[in-house]
Amino acid sequence: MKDLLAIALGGLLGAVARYSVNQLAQGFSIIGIPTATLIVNLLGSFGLAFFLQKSLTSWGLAAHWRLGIATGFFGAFTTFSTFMLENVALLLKHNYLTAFSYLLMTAFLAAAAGFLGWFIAETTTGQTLREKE
Amino acid sequence: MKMWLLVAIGGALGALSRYWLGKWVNRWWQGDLPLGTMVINLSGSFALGLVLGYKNYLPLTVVLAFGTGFLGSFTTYSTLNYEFISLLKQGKYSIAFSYIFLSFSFGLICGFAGLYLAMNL
Repeated sequence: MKDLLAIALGGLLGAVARYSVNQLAQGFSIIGIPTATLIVNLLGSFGLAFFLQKSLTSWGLAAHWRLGIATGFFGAFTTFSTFMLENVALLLKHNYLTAFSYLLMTAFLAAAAGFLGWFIAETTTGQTLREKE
Repeated sequence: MKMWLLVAIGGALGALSRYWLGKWVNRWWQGDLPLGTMVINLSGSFALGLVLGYKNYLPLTVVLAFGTGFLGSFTTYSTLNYEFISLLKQGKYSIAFSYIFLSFSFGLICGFAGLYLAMNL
């Protein structure tokens, strides 16, 4: 029950945070790429990787807090469906190069952001999960 | 009704549904490919295609609660990315790149299929 409440609360906050970024960055685009979705997905990918590493290695967080923040907040803050439909819209307008750049840029930058989050979490902890085990 | 409240309620339900569906898929799937997240992201993309296709016939409250709130929160990029970099870290490169490629290509197809169905039926 605690798990479900934490996920619901995290999901609520994540969705509202995503909606707020959307309202702030509405209409903005970099060379035709919708900025709001890119921002939430990159921030969230960084945040989730950092948080998961930290919570597993050094923060002794209870399971429901981990679920609430990882599955709830970061899961809901980032989105795949909007990302896909934005690309479908670009493809339907024959903006093939923009769609292709948007897909590649998200995949590449999110992976970089995730590795960075993971790396920062590991170095600031001074021990990896493997060493602890 | 405040717009953000609709997004909030949809967002909470979307995250819970993602948790349940992910757990359910992973109960019978033990492969390296993260199928749970894929099922979630592809079905959510199809559903968002439907919502956007019917946008002109739906009240804004429904689009916000179900589209932005529920489906935005149900589908996720951060988990997909975390699974992708975890696979890379484990040296499972072909599975990692297949995962991204399959998610993106079928995600586009599912999103388009939903949009097309809604606009033509």
